[in-house]
Amino acid sequence: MSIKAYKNVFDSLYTSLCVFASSYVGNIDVAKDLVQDVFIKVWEDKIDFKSELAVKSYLYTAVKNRALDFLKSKRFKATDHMSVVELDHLNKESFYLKEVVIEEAATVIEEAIKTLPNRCAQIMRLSIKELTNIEIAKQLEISVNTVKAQKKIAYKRLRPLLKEHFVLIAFVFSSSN
Amino acid sequence: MINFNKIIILSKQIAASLLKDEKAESLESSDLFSQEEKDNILKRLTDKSEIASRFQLKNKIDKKEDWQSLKSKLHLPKKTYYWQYATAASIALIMALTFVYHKIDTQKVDPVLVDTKIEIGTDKAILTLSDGSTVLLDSTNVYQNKSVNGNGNKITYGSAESNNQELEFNYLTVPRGGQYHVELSDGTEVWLNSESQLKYPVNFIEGNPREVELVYGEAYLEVSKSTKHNGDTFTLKTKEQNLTVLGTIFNVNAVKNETEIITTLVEGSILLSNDLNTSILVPSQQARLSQDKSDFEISTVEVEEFISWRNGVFSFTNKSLKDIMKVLSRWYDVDILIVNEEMENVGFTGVLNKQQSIENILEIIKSTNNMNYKIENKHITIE
Repeated sequence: MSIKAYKNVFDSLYTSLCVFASSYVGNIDVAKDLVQDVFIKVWEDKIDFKSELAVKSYLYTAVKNRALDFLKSKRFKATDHMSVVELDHLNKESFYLKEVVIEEAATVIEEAIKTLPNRCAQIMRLSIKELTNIEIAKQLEISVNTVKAQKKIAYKRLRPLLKEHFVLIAFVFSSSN
Repeated sequence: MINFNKIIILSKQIAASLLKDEKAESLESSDLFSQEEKDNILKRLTDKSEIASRFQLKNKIDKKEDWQSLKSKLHLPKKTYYWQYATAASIALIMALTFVYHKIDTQKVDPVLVDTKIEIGTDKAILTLSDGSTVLLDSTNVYQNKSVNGNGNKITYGSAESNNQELEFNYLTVPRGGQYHVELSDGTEVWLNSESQLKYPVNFIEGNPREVELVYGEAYLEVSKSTKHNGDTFTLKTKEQNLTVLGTIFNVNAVKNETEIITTLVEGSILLSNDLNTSILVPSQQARLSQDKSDFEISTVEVEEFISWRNGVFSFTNKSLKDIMKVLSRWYDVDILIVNEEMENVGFTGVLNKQQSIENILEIIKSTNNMNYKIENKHITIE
């Protein structure tokens, strides 16, 4: 992977991976260290990715494994401890998949909303939190009709972005080999 | 991996449902999670305090700083000036666009939309066989015979055993609003951009140079190495120049009605020639041959910008609005007229996903500028 492609992957996924890792280790600073370790390994081992799916699959798995290793390590046990039940829970495949889904869905939502004009984005942020149109109108001191109209604009603009194959973050993969 | 693919698609579906204020049915019907887990997913995405704590967590992550510390731990090749480019390329967030343009007043006017029928470009091409008959290749039409296999996005020529010493030619024509990928019988791969035509033999004759012609348009080639073909060189002809290689990766842009041919080398080396001159390119170099000049103008460029079209994005670095509109008009198959001449040379930098509507792109440009646009059928006027 070229350094450019590598930086692109880092920029696109670093934050998500840190948040994801912290759901295992419960500490954002430890999470950051784990994720950086994984990134160093990707570079040192010259791992090359061919698609968005491949890169995500690899990185989420690698971060998960490193996080679980950390929880079983002496370093962790010396300062903290986790019950066997809790560790079992984190070890489950469905816990891993659930955390990936949350991270991925949250990122899509955030990136999509970022593309909207300010007022529209404000309304959509509240809408996501399951506020009704009336509640949104009250909170922003605007009319319910304005809320409805703005939502309509948002849906129209987001429609192409929400198709399944749409990639919000463009990955640049190296073209060689 | 199967699960992982499902997971990524499911994530997008959930995000779409929540944004549309709909029930997340794809999650409800998913067999990957228990009900408790499903509830937890929705809660984490929609609950006010959950969203707030996620936001706080993200605020504790300083991506720039962490990148610097990560970078210092990597063993990097010596040429560190790459870094500047890396930052430039990382504006991959599609919507992160900036006009290098200074104008203070931004009066907002609404665009006029009349009966828009503009579609996003897709994979498609027309195959012309040696007997002159034509076949449409797209997501619903396939073509197959003994050694040829054409489907929705790619046509592959097998190396059929033949003692034929006569070359038999096929043409592949990609219309406006299309793109297509062909693998020739020698293993060379060619990606064709919108409004391009390639002429090539169904089979190459061993011991002879491999010759292919880009009749017009833009192509990205990964040439199968000569060493695999007893040293037979590969030549790509265009109207004004010949390009000979032994095995390499490059992009040639010889778009209709343009005054120059642009050749960009990604890997390997190539020999360019026209009637009067020859020139050799090394990776990251670009040669421009103008219609009115006979020599090649060589410069070093950021290659990614010129080859990103085949990865589903338009990449522009300080490109004029006029040139951008030319690119867009080929992909969306529309005519674009810029009324105000001053606007034509406005510079623009950004990366745009090709899978979005043209209205979307125009809206983005509009939001950074005091331009307005009008869409009538397939004609767009920018004023």
